[in-house]
Amino acid sequence: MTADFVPFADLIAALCFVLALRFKNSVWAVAGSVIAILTALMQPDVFSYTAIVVGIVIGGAVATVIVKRSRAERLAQLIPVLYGVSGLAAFLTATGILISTGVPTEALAAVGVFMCLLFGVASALLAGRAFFSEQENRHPWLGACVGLAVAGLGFTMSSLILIVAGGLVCSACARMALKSE
Amino acid sequence: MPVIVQLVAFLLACGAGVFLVRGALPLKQRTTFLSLASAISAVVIVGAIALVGPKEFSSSRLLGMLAVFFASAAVFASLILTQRLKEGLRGTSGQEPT
Repeated sequence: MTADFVPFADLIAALCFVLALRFKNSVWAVAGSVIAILTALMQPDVFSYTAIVVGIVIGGAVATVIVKRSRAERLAQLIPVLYGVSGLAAFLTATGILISTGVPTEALAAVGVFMCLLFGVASALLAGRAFFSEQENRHPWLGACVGLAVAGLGFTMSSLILIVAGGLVCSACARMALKSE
Repeated sequence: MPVIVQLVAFLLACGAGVFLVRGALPLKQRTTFLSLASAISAVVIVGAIALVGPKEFSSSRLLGMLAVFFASAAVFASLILTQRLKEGLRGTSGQEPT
């Protein structure tokens, strides 16, 4: 399997994400996520499907049970937790890259790795604070933080979909934070 | 991928994000929007999958598996949460959210 189709698939997934935010419809978000995940699984250097699928299934099952069981009036409180979890995943991935290959030699990739570490930790901390403070105004800044972490990871791995998704979430959340203040 | 392409893609995405948010939304719709944005940022699972990919055992793979677990939890949770929030929105206001 060649890697020629990757930028093309990334572009389609990015378009799905833009449409999801435009029409506030989760169907587009599902389509974008599925395309992005399938593209990642079809990369030539990905072999250990069992480990990945087990991780996805366990994570999905835990998340489904938690969201389905929480009461309707507490749903909004889950949002900072989700952002914190995404930021934590970005932080863990960046740490893994640093352990396995060391600091990247390219300037942009090196900047990206530190961007990801910094904003990943910041988003986890902000998420904890937002979860306990019950003040909804902080959530958009939290989203901007996670977006920057994701974009940093994208610069490190030179992955188009991560860069575009990160930039999109970062600027949309930052604009929303500025508008709602 | 050349550095310039990555930077241009990032700037274009930032522009699209700014363009998409116009005007202040009411609090309920803002919550839906944020949960949708969280589903999009959970695409970080792509990076985690690339880290777990190689077969040999190492500590970085272990971190990658943990990241896959967290990121997939975020994907599923935010998508289901968006759906539940939209249903709640429909129930309280009696009309389709735009």
